[in-house]
Amino acid sequence: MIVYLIISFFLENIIGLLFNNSNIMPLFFLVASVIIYQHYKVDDDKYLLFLFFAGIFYDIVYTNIYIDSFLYIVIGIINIIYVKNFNNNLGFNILFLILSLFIYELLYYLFFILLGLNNFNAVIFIINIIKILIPNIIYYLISFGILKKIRR
Amino acid sequence: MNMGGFMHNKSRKNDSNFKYILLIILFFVAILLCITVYSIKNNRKLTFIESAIKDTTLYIGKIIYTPFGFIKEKVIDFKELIDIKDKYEDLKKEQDKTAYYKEEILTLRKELNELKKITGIDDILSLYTYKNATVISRNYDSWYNSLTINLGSKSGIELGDAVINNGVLIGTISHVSNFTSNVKLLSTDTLDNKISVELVVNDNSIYGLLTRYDNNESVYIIEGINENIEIPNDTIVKTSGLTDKYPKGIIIGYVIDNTKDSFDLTKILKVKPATNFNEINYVSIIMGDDL
Repeated sequence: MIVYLIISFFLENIIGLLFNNSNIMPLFFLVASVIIYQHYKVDDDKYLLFLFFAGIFYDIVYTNIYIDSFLYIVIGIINIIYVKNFNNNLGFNILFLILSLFIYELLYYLFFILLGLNNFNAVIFIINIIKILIPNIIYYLISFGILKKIRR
Repeated sequence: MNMGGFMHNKSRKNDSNFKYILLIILFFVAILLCITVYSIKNNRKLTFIESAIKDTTLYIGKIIYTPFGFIKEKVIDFKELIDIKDKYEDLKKEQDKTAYYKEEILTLRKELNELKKITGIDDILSLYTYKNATVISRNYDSWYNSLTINLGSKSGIELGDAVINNGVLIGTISHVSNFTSNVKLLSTDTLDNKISVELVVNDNSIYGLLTRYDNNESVYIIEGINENIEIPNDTIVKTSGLTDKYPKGIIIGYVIDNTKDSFDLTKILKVKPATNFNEINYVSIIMGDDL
């Protein structure tokens, strides 16, 4: 689980530098944080604490502003509610991942608008969502397959 | 107590633990969000712990990326090899002019030194030294806002230093740790500090203010230009050197359109950046004057 998280964290940066354009937006560390709760039995409180520190770590390394610690918690809470109330199958998981990424991007966008650092533009927002969904769903599917094989 | 009651109590205890931890976390999150607002508005200096974590992680990331970067460079080299004939023809034409340019630079430097001696002026706005750096991280949520480079305070980088890419201004240093720095890009939606710019039209210098970057059209907006001055398209926009932040003469972009403001008093210029913000791999940090 830890190895998977570390790989996801660095892979996000490698993909970023390798495909040096903004056409794909990998959020592999977030995807990994979502998938570990769905695949491994982790205590809710420990999971939230992990997300809190993971968010801070992500912020320190990449963004220098502490917003991911908050967003990771939000996604974590939604993930806990989802796992406890819905069937844990691939179809539902993908739908949930789409919802999570949408909420993550929306909150990020709203935060910057509230601070006056961004102007709202619906077209750019929708394009960003598409750029985020494609690589992250592919990464989720690959991770899902690998983790399933490892668990067997 | 029967088994059902015990389980019920345990579940209630777990629930209250969960709520308790959630409350504590949300409390810390609120504090962190306050720090975020503060750091965005004030270009806060990184603490020792933040610097250490950032430097260590990014260096590990850089080591892991090395083989991938090597392959990427080989692929780029191969692509360039295909276009090499056209480039060779262009360079051949340019080479004929090189001797003339060299001679002109030498003459101008000589004249400059003589004028400096006569006038006693030491500071020349357009002269500076720079250090080259590599982009080691660029986050997707802030793709057009910032990037991280592999030089920090140990290399003499300071907050507010101007950063260029292929001679084109791209931003300023916004955070510095020991071995890495963050560059705030000019392509960020809202610029905190406006940039004084210069355009040369028919040998006359015209000054204006670069106020923001329009993400929809991918252009800079320049305001404060007198409405009576005709500014042709493709006019080069450079830094004016009238602020401490940016030396004089660094290219920013080219005029592609101009309109009048809503009061018909000044012109608003749309300027296309002279660099591609999607492809920034190496940058140079301007350190100060060279004399």
